[in-house]
Amino acid sequence: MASTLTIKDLRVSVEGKLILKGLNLEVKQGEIHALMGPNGSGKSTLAYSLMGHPKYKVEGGEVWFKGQNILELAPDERARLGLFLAFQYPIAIPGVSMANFLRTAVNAVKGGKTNGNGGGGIPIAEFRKMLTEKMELLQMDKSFARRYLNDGFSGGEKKRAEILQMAMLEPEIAILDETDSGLDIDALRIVSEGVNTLAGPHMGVLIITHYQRILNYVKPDFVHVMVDGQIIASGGSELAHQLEAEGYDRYVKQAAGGS
Amino acid sequence: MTSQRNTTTKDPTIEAGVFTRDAATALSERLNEPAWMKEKRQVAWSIFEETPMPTTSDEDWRRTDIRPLKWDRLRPFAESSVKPASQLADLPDYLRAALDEGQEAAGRLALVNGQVVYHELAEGLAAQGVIFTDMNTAVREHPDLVQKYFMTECVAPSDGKFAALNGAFWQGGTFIYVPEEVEIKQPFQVVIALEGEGTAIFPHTLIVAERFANVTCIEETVSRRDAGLSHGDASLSPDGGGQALNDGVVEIIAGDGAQVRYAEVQRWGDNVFNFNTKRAIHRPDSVVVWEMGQLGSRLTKTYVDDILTGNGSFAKFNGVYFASGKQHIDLDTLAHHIGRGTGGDLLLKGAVKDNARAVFQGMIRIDPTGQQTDSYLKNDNLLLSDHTRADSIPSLKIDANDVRASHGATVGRIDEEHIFYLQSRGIPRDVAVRIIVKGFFASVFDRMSQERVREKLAAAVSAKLGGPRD
Repeated sequence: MASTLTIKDLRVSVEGKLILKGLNLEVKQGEIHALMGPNGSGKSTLAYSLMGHPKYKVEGGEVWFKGQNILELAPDERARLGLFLAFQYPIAIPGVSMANFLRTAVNAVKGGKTNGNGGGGIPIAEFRKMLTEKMELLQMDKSFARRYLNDGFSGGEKKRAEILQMAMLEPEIAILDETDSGLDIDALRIVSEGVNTLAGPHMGVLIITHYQRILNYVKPDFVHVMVDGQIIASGGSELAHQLEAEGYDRYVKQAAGGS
Repeated sequence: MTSQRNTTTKDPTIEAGVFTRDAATALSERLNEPAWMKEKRQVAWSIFEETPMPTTSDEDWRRTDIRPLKWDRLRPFAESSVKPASQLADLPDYLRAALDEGQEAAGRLALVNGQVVYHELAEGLAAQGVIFTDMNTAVREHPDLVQKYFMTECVAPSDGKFAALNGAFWQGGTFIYVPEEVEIKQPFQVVIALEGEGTAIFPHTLIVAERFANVTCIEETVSRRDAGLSHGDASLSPDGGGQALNDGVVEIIAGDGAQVRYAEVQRWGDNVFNFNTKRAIHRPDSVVVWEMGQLGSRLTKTYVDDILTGNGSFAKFNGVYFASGKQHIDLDTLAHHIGRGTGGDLLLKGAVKDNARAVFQGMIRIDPTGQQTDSYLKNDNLLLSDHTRADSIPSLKIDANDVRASHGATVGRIDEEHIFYLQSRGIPRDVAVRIIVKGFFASVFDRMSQERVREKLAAAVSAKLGGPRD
């Protein structure tokens, strides 16, 4: 049976301010969902909360994944269950090479080895082969593997590196937080092709975006509109085109009138 | 550069009655030294007597309190439990590991409590005029060279209390002489070992590289609390029992266009009080590279000075330190630019955890003659627990108008965002912390020229961080 990420009445505050105000959403393995909304609607808060960022305080609700309420789990435990977050602003960690980091992460998620030294787990030859394949898919130069994690990467390189990590970890549910922002058209195409190749019966994707642009390349099965911490409309891919044409005003007014 | 003041405080070293003029004389006689060396010791002792013991009222010692060192519990000489060996294979494991058995070396020297237990010099080097021996042998066999350079133009007994005490009681240490235009590819490897509680050792290293000579020396320091036993982590008794002392001097004379690399892997046991005065004198166009890992000791106060007298000379420093438990590590660097067009590039990174403390003081000083100097100093510190402290005090004193000099210092904690990012990839928090700390040191390791030093230091950092071994 396909794994499902089920978000029930999720309420989250940041620094004492309630941002998510009872959010409900279900994402199944094999489905592509787009979550759209204006700035400040709480899209990134949802992404960070699902991954367990310590700054985001859960005030209520549940998030079920593979039979567990993952809100009780540490971020690394959520990742090992098969959840992935592509960051809007990936973090640079100097001195840690991309290859060593990826091997540690792959071993942690898939090999059950978490000794942090890149030892044990997946055999090195198998790891290298897998890394080469995935890097070719994302049209990344081999030298990437030797560079320090996100250190000195351009905006486009960082986003590609996020998708590379997703490709290596093969999550069951992936959340892409504004992965399309700051990308030129070529980089957007490469990233989108990567997502399309990886998405399939084994992976469910939640694309969080402000713009409809990425949806020209990645076809969503479902589109949700988020305003003021709640999902207020859901539909098929036609909803994205409607939002592009009409903007969020109608939904913002509706949310204001309804509260 | 100890700033000294008159003080009425009694000198604990002299009160203790362990180190005396008579003891210095007895050492000379026991070693059957020539009159000139006997005289050097006597002069050093006189300066020692006149020099007040540094206290926390002295600027350089303000953050380093040495009163826990109990001088009356020390012994000025101790025998070595290790028998001299003619084969590397006959040495105990810990000495062989420190000498990087299995790697190529230009020569190897093992000193235990100041006594030579192993010495080798690669074939062909002696024929080129290269000298590599322990300092006591050098006094006997190469008196002209030693008399010329030993505590004359580089380190002097007047440089401080501990330099003076070394001058009076030195024993062991390394003498390296490389003639003009002789380039030695492999490093000389030296281990300085201290064994037994209450032992005091005074190694004195002198490296003379003549015009266009090229030489590398790696010194590793190790200690064992009890002779013949691996040192445990038993705590020191409050009366100072169990303490030991290392008081070292390193003098480097880099001739015109010479290149000298000096690496130190400091891994004293947690009972050792460690004081050092290390200095390089730069002739024109010489390059001196210091590569240093400070990992051990109960307390360390080490001065590393570059005196860039020669035009176009250059000093480089790649240093790491990692203090844990109750360790206190205090490093003090000076890049003194006297010649025209000289350069400095110093990078030191340190981590502190548990209740440890680190102090870094770094001075870039440019004299009016040091025009077109380009000098850079950077020190970063990572605090790994709530009970640690690190002080970083870089300073500039510039008396020339056409120079570039800059310094930077940071003291901080690991960014929680970095930990979260790694955790989001399935990596547990404790592993994430270890990865980030290793990454923090990588920029120094990347600059190190000696692979074997880098590997040792990286392994030592991993061990200090705990968790599974590499």
